[in-house]
Amino acid sequence: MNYFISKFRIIISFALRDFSKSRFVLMFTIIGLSSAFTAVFLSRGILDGFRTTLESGAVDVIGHLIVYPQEGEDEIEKVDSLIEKIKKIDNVQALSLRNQTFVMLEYKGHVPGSYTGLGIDFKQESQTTKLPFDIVEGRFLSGKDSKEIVIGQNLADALVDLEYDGEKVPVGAKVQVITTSGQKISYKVVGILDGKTFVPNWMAYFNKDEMERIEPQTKNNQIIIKLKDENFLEETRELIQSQNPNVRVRTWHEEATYVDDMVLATQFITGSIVVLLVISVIIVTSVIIFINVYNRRRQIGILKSMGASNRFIIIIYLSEALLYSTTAFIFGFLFFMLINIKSIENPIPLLIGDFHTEFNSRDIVPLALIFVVATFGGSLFPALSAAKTRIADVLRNVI
Amino acid sequence: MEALVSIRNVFKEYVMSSQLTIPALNGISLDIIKGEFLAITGHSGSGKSTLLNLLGLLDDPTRGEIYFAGSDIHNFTEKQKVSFRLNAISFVFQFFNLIENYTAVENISFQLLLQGYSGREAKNRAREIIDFLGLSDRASFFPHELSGGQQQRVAIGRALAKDSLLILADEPTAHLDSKNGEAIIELLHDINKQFNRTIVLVTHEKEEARHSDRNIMMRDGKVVNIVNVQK
Repeated sequence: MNYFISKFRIIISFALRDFSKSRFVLMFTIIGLSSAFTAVFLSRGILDGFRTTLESGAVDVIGHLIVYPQEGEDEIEKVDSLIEKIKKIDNVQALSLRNQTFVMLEYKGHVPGSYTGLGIDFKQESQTTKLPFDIVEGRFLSGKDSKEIVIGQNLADALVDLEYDGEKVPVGAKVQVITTSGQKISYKVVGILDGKTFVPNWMAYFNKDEMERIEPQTKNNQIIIKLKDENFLEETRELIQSQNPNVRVRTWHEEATYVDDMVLATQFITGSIVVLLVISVIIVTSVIIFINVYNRRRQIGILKSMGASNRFIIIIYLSEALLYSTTAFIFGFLFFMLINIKSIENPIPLLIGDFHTEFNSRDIVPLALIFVVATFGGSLFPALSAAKTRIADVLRNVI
Repeated sequence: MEALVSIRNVFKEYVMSSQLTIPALNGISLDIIKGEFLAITGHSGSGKSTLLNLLGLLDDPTRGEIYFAGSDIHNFTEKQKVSFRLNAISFVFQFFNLIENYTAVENISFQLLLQGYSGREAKNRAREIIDFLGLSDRASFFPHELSGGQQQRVAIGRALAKDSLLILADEPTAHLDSKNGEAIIELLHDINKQFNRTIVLVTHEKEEARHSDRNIMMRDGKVVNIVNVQK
């Protein structure tokens, strides 16, 4: 054991001396590799941040779980007793009963199309989703005046003209709602809402009672549930479903499939960047170790003449590569953390929400392992070529 | 007298191309006696360094056998060859060949660490050798901070550090002035006598061979004369 520790110490000591010999080269190598490592962490941070932005955007609007009536039914059966049962589940934090239907809106004679209308209870909704707090102009529904309406900002824009130019229906304006029965009812726009995702910005929001009055067939057709711990999403869904076979319980994943699609697309892009960076790390490591081996062939020959084995020579250069990548990994990680802190302090306002990078501690070990493998991969071939150095060639000054 | 090394009908040819083969050694046979100071002299291209490389397992003969303490060393496996270089022989080169990132004392202790000595043992033994070489005040100097003569002393110290039976010195004074050259030859003789090490010195300076036990003269890859020096 002592023998191996002693050998290990010589190898590390030798590799360290070699590693730190040219400070200029060392500095540039570390900067180059650190940049690659920072970029890898950043790619992961962007992906995680983007995912969070999309996911929280969806959850903030539709909660974690959504309960619908059975297929073919308009209304959730025995909704009051169902709500009582759901409220008793430990993992349920809050819920909101909604009415959802399609309505047509008309503004100054312009009818852009049919959109989702949502009847909501302000009190329940404010405990379950962030919709009541996403108002960008005016205010949210008060619950007192049945003839008020809030419009998603994309819909507010579309009501003016087809061009998406930011010109919206002003707060205070009157819009006509055409119900499924063809009735035209005038409502006052009290607020414009930006839900930071696509769906809520194309919706019209009514007081729940008013929606029930104009579209009675849509009464109580949706319960939005906010959970305390999302990690038990599936378990909670199964529990509600098993207790109430007469309803359909869906997760926000199933409702907002666009989130997974967009994350997948981003994952492909960031994954490709990571793969390319890993390849560049392999190549850079390989070139650096090749240069080191080329410059130190005489020294390698001397070591071999002193009795160093091929394995010893190989391990020296693998260790040297590992020193480069470990140092660069640490610097790269620290630099990423700096960027991450700045990004959290200064999030970028996007249409889909405020974006900032994220650090996931679970990324460290797999990324470190990838780089250890990449480093070994890159340095193995030059290390093998170092071991093949012929002592006689060194002594004859052929090399 | 017991032969430490027996060289039997050894040839070495360098194949430059399919039509050009350069013979370096032409059927050399020779015994090296345990504990002797053997000088090999000859002009450039006479084959003396080639012979030294074969003795040190740095190169393989085209044919013939070389026995070291009874074993045909050129039939060794790679692992045995490494062990042989590590433990049985030491080299002193004309270009000193010290490890440039290591100080004088570290160059010596590194050899000992390679052999499996503990850090403390290696350090202590290296210190003793540095003192023996008269380089105590230069122990922590790097090779580029030492003169040629001092560097060659450290190289000899490295060879002395391991308890090898044979020290192979390939023109160790070639890059030194005459005063330093003489001092180095004197040091090798001291080691030969004091530590009973067998030394093979390759040189083209006849003067350096004068004090050896035997002087082998080579020409065109052959031994042309063996002189037993009377002391």
